[in-house]
Amino acid sequence: MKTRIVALSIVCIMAAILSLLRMYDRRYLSSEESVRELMYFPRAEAVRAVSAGNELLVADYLWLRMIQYYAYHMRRDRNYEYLYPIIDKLTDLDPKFVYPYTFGALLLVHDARDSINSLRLLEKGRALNPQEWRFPYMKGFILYVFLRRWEEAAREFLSSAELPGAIPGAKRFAAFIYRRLGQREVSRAMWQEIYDTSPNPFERQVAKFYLDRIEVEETIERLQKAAEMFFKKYGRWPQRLEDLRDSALVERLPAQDPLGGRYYWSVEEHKVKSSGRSSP
Amino acid sequence: MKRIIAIAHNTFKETVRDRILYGLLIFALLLLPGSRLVIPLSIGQEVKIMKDFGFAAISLFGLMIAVVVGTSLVHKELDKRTIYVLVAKPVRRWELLIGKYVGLMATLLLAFVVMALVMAATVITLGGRVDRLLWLTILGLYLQLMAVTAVAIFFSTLASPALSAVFTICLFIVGTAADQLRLFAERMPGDLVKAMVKAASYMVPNLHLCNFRTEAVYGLPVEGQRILLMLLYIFLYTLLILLLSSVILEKKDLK
Repeated sequence: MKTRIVALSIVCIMAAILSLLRMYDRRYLSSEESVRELMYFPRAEAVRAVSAGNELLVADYLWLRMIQYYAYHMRRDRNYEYLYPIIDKLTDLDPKFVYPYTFGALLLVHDARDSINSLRLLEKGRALNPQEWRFPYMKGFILYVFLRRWEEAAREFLSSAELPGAIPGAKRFAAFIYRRLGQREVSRAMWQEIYDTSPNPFERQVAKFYLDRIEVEETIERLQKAAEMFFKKYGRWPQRLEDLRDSALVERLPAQDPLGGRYYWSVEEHKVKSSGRSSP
Repeated sequence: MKRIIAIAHNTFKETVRDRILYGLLIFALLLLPGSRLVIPLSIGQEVKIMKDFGFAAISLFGLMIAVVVGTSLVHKELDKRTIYVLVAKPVRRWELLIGKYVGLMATLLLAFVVMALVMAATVITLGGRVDRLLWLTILGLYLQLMAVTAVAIFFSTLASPALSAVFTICLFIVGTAADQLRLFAERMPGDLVKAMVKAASYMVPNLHLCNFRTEAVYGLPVEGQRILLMLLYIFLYTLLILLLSSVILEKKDLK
């Protein structure tokens, strides 16, 4: 009898503790709250002084928190207010950890639409690791693809190519940009490089999205040209895309676009369009 | 020399039988491969995080073994009065101290070898490379504990095991940031405070000298001269602390 009462008490107390913790999680433990706490994270010098030589491990912890913070907001509100401060703190602690700079810069410019901090992060990485080719390379990439500052991008690719270990693509991209400013092939080659070499599945997913988008843009351009030829030939716009095939202006029509939608003719705007998704 | 070896041998046998040592070692061995559970969240940085985690775990558990066992070694002999049996024999007190130290370092070496092999196996299973720098870093961690164990024994000749453990852990933390302490000293107001902090930074063991974690994780070169400097410094520092401990033990009234 006594044993039963003790056992029952233990179970009741454990259940009470669990429900208290669940209540705490629901009320206080959001990614936002826990990351906001990181804003009070001590300066790198102080962490170094008290971490008993484990500052790299503390930086790893911040890296894992950053990924969770990013994933949490990507699924909910796409508000990445604390993304830059977290990466800044983690790179203060581990200045040679290259990946948070380059991946963080990509997330900042692509998801947070914060090109200033994206470039600032890469500049910080370059100042602390002057022999690392990835910083000017990523800066060139961001300048070319997102900001369309092509001449600056070409300069960054060139300076990346001069550093030890740089991929041959860096010089090639600079040459492409200088020769054919604004061409789609350069962008495709860059995304392809990331798709082929990134160890990060999410980064590869983003690269795949942009590769598909380039393909969609090219198809739309080809079909639009055919529609204009149709107009010249018949003096009226087509009513649907099939008219282009029926009049032998295109050999065949694509079944669907690689972004999960389909191509269609907008009768009102006289334009070929795609209903595929607009973000990765 | 024979007497020191005999005491070291006995200390080794005594400490490897210690249940606390097994507890710590089993926990460390579970933790090292267990870290793989967290690692998938690191998107592409598995090997780096595993190395950081492995070095931290080896350092932490090594420190715990050194502190828990080291601070009680001499005190246990005094507390149980078994030291009377020993000093009645033709054994000098300093020989007893050195023997105990050597025995404990042999135990730590065994624990380090086991932990290092488990860490190396975990790194390999993640597709990482086990190179010279990884072993050098683990050697650096062991050398840190050579100095820290001497400090633990030094404190155990003066205070209770609990107090000695607190002092040793504090000194370990300050020692790993000895170079930071010197940098802080430069910013201190007043020449006297500056000089005092600077002097303190030279007195604590400079354990940062033995830290090659960044080099191991990022494959950076390490100068042979730095390794030599580390070996010489740790040897001299340990010798000094053991010498001071011997002097204290010699002068201790055991009645």
